[in-house]
Amino acid sequence: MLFVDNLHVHYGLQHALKGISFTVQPKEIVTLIGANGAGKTSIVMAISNLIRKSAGSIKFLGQDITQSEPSDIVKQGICHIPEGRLIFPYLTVEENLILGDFGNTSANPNRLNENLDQVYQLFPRLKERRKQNGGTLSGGEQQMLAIGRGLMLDPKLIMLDEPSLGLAPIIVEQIFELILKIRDWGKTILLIEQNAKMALEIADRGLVIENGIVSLSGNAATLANDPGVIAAYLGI
Amino acid sequence: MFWLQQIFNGITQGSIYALMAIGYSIILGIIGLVTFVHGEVIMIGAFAGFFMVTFLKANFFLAVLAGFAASWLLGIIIERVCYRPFRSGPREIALIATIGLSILLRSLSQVTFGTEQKLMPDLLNSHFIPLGQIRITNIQLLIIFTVFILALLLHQFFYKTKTGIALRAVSMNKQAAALLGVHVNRTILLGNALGCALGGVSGVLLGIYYNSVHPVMGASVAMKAFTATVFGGIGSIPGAALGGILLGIFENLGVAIFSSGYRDIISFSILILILLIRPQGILGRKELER
Ligand SMILES: Nc1ncnc2c1ncn2[C@@H]1O[C@H](COP(=O)(O)OP(=O)(O)OP(=O)(O)O)[C@@H](O)[C@H]1O
Ligand SMILES: [Mg+2]
Repeated sequence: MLFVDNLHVHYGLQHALKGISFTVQPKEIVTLIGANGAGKTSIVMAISNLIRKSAGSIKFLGQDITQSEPSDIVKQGICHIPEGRLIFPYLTVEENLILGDFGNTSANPNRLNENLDQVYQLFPRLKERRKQNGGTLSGGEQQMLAIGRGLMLDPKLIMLDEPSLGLAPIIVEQIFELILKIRDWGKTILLIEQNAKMALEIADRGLVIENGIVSLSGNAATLANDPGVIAAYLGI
Repeated sequence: MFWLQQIFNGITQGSIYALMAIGYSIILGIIGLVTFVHGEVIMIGAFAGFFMVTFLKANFFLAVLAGFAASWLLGIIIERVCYRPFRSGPREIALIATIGLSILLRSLSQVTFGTEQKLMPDLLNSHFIPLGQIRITNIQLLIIFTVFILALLLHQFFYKTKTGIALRAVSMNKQAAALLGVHVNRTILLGNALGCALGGVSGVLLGIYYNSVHPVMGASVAMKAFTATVFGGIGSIPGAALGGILLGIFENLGVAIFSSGYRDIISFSILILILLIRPQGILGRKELER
């Protein structure tokens, strides 16, 4: 459903992405792993058109979205949950969630309330805190809020950039379980992770990003047993 | 009683400043930059009200509406001319563009409206309403009432509507808002127009309170709007309102102690004092999230 073809990105003179190509099929979990600075965030930023591409094209559900406005890309059904979550700290939890409704194109007049109920059911914690400012939540709660806000869009593809960043192992477990649950609802997931071990456990396929290129890709189980991947990313 | 009278006059004046400062804060939040054209926005609003009253014999409500509409339109032009073309360039360019536009608008107004002060007709048949020992005019009451109603409406808008929430979100983080499908460009345009429109209304109120409008009134009122915003705390709309009222009160008390010639000096001194003692203002946040 997502086709990324020969994507190049420059930051000034730095050539951060040097021809990235990959696809994501419906209902898959695809994970991008790689060291710090490899270019993972740049890939999803380029897909969302938040940074300028020097070359390449992006197609989603048959539409060319290479140059679409970020807000229009969202409306096509791509939800990007950014690195660092980008919660609005001075808006309440509920206001943060309501903002997710902007990218929802469903014609159902009750969709806002229905989706809010659904998110609150998934995260009772958020319901308890719905009048509290987003900035006062714990890191784990903020990540839940970011995911909940993304679900308000009712997206087809969810791109998660390091959802486990800075969270305690037990919370990370919960987040990964949640990702599986969301996939089972019929969503497609592009997951960026430093925690390669867990990411490869839940993913169908994986891509290893190194210095702006795809150095290795394939079945997640195969990658998890690849000696090179084990040495570089699984730290055993 | 004398002091009570001064405080009441200060509240009236302060509620006009509050409206200016609320508009200024909205613009500062959504654009992320100070604007130097706000004084002219207020002046154009005042003239729109003046023309409505003088030539069309409009009532108070229509005059306010005219100020709102004229400055709203000006806000759209300002966004197109001063902000949008320079969004990806260095920020100073947009800032300098507002200085340029402010000079242009002031000079154009002097050329077209004439350089002399215009008398605002007394459209409310102004009279005193006795209230104990202090004297209150019907105009003062109407000004305070108008600002109060507008503040209530704004509060409803910002906290109870999706568009209002989006405006606040875009003020905090444009990229994050875009990622949720908020149309950031349109929201910035709306925020700037709204902030300017409130400036326009404050211009009309000022014209009615002082029975006059003037093409160069912008310079001094822009300073007041800025001072009130800093006083209340940059980034806080309730702060801006509070800052405006307090500035009005302090100014009037100062005028009572010294003389009315010192009005602008008093508010300038307040500005410098705040910047020295409490730069984040009364209700401001220590750090701004942009
Ligand atoms: N805005 C920017 N300006 C300049 N260089 C940038 C910018 N953003 C990223 N880079 C550079 O581009 C390269 C790729 O960065 P990117 O953020 O995509 O890496 P990443 O794989 O997401 O890393 P991490 O795992 O640390 O998040 C890095 O060398 C980084 O320094
Ligand atoms: Mg990253």
